[in-house]
Amino acid sequence: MTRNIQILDIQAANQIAAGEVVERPVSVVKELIENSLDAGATKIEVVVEGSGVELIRVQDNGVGIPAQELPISLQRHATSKIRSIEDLNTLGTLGFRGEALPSIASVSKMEILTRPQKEISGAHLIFEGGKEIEFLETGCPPGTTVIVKDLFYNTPARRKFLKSKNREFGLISECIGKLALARPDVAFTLRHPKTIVLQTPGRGQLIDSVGAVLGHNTARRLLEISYQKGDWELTGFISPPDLVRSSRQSEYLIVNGRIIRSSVISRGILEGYHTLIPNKYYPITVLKLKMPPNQYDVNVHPTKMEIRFHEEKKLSEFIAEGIRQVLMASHPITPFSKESPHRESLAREANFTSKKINSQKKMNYSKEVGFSWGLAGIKAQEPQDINRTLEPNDSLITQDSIELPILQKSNLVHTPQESKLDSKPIENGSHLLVFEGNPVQITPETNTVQIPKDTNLANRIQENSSPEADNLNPQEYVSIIQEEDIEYNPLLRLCPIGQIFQTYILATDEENLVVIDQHAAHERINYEKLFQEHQKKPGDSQMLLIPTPIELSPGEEEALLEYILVLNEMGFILEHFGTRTYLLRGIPAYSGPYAGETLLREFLDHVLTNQIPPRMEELLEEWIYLLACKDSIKAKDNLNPLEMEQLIFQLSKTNNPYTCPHGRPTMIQLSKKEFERRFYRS
Amino acid sequence: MKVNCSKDSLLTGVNTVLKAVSSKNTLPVLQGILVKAEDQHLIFEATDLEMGIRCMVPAHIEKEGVTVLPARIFSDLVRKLPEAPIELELENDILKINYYESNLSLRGFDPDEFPLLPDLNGEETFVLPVDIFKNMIRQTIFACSTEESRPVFTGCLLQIEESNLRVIATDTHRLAYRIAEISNPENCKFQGIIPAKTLNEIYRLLRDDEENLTIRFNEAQILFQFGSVVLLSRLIEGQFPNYKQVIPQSCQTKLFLNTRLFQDSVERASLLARDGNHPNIIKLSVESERLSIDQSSDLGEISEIMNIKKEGNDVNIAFNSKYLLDVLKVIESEEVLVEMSGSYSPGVIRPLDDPNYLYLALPVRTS
Repeated sequence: MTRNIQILDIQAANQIAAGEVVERPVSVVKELIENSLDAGATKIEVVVEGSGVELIRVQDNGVGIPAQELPISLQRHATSKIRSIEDLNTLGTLGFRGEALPSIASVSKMEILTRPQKEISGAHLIFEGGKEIEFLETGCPPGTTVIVKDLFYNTPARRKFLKSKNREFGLISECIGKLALARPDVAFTLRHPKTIVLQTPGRGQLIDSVGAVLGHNTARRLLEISYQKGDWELTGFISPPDLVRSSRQSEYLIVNGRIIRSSVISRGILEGYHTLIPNKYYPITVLKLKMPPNQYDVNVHPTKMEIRFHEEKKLSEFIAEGIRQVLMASHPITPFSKESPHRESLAREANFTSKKINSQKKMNYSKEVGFSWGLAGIKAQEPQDINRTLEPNDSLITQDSIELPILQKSNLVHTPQESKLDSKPIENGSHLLVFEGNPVQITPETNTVQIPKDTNLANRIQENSSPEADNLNPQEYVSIIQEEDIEYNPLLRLCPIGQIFQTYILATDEENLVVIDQHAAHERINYEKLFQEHQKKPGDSQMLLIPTPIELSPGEEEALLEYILVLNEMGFILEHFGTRTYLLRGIPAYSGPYAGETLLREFLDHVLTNQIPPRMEELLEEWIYLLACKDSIKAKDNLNPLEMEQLIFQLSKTNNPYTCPHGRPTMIQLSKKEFERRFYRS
Repeated sequence: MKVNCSKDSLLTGVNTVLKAVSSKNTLPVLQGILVKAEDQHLIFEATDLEMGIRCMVPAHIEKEGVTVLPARIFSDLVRKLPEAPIELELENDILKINYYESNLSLRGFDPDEFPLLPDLNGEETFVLPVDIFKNMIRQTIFACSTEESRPVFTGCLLQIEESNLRVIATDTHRLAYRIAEISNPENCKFQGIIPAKTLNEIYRLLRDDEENLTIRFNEAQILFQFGSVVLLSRLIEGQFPNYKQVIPQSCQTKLFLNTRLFQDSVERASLLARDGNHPNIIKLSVESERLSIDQSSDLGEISEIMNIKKEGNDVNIAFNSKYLLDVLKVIESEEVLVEMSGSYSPGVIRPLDDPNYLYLALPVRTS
């Protein structure tokens, strides 16, 4: 029997469309709320009974629908939001297809009560299974209320696939949470059915919504982000590196008011947190991105959850930069006592509780530590002194520095570019610390560490740059003394007190006691050094005598062809050999311990998952970690004061001094306040 | 079992077979050395199932017997024994070692569980002069790959064809080729890839005073017999690449270099690579009668100049210095001939007075 081709009746067409749009109760909630938002509502109340199948009511105070337009609104492709396809490029509304209402109506019993703000009375439309049952004039508050009952009553198959009531309701509350994050200017309320599950004040403050959705304690710890470049603007909140989750659940992305998912942005986020948080952990992020609507395409996914950006790589870099900046500016030192529950194991490692200190009560400080070394009274000297110390022929300093063997060692440690911090003992037994070209007097007053509160070196240096100091070459001066270093790099204020357990360096900046894991710190320093070295490596290629044949899947081949030039620059020499088969004729010369084929496959995998080609040093990262670890001092290595000082100094020069390359903290800190609290001194 | 022997014979036996003991294996018996008293000889055997070694030493056997002893402890014990007559006595799987008035006892494994080393009797047999073979191993084995991903490159190809014996090794970055003329009256034919580990062992065990080495082989295994030692090894499965195809037949540049001076220059030029983490790439530039070997890194720069004899074109080329040094170390001739054809074609190095050896290194394409 041949089948005739026929056009489906409207109800069937709507039900099929509903299959795409209305997958489960949460889709109804989402579509209705989006309609309310598009109608300019500032207050939206959602009531859900059971899993949402029983009842969903969405009430708003938006513009309402004029009575005469109401029946049309339930026809497919009826919308007030766009007029032609070109409008998609300037789309300012969440919806545009005109599919939501008819789709929902076709699989439920639906009522719409609506009254435009200016009208005296409203309209009441009752629908069942896509058919109009009743249409009458009625009294109602301005705005629109949509009531959806018995969802999927006529599509039992769909109903069967619903999850438990709790799960479905969970999805609804999560969805409203997301929408609330997207629109802090709208007051959302979710009731189930009597209790208020979620409520946002709608005052336009994102942090209010974040508090309501993620919990106020979490919200308080988040860092605000605000970053702009060209016509892209990124705002929102991100978690500090010690506040992480084990899934991406807490990653909220809002592009021009639309909640979306985007692997491109997710990648940017992880890149921003790279090496700051351990592998397999994800930060909490609420990111709002503003960009011209013509730079992305929303019409790629039925529920508009995924959008496609035109400049993916640039965007991902933009996000990473923004995040990196905030994180670095926040100086994310792991606090001493706050244990974040999801990172207990790490915290436990890093934490050292008062009990442990007690157990060390026998510790004779100066004995255990091996020395006592104080840094007292950092005194900036008069400008004349600066000139004197910078004078190369100054006999006092040069002589002493040659006499003392310990000094020579320290001189060996730092290479010329790095040695901005030089400690040189002088005759009277006190230390002269040449700090970024500024000499500071240090006297070893045992067991006391005093850095005057006003040790703002930058300020002092500025004072010094009075006309009397003119004979100091101004350019050189600028290059040696970078104000920001001292102003914004709190690590430069750290002064080592000693080493404990031959593993941790104790240091203080007078406001905090900082405990630095010497291995982790050195690992970070070495990692960044090695990483930079690898960035500089040329794309030399070791040619192969016997080429390696490589067979690829169609996807891999496409990735390979797209980035063949990038691969070539890295040092891969490839030759087409046959159907999806290539000959590897040359491999990157600096490829570490990896075989050329392994690296190539990793490159292709990376492209297929991230849509962005990786750089060589990224492919080698695991190995670089290993090298950095190998080159670093270990626990149980004894350090002398100069070595500690150097370590802190070099650490302060790294891009991210606060965690080791694997995301473990390099330092933890205990503030003076914390001491006071624990000793009940307040 | 009851045996009288010297410490030296014990030590010889244990040291000979020790390398074949598996360091880790799920079969505990393979971590042992089989000791067998038979026919006025003590026989030692060890195997990791890839390679097996058997060694015979003279001893006075009062009563025959066999046991398997844990290799590590037994070899340590033997090494520490005094230089005195030693008596071994086996009773119920426990070996008693008596010396002077002292004694110790060691519990052994069940010898029945120990795998047999087949003798490959009746297979094809071939006899080789030791000195030639030893040198062949030395000049090729370093070019084997250590990467397990492609097993054929982790061994040397051994080829016997008419009166030619060839050994070839490559890790795909370079290739070493050695040919020798031998007498092959029975026109025996063999081709197989022998694991580098096996050849290393043979090289170590072959004594210079030995004259001949007997090879027996079948499809999957090869057996070497020399002096009182028998070494059996698995052959690596797979197709060795066609080496004849990759050896260039002509060249555009010929350099005649003093081997030691060249080696010294390359060694000095490679000192400046910052670390051992990366290949050490040096640049060779030939301009008329001058060869300059350069390297630069963060640490500094070096430019080694050699005055040379040259035929053909000038050339600029870069190599991983290891690939040059490896071969220069095994060439005894006073002069080497280096043949090149442009920056991207293989460089061929041969001893000037020995047509039987050839080495080929692929250059690095620098950006």
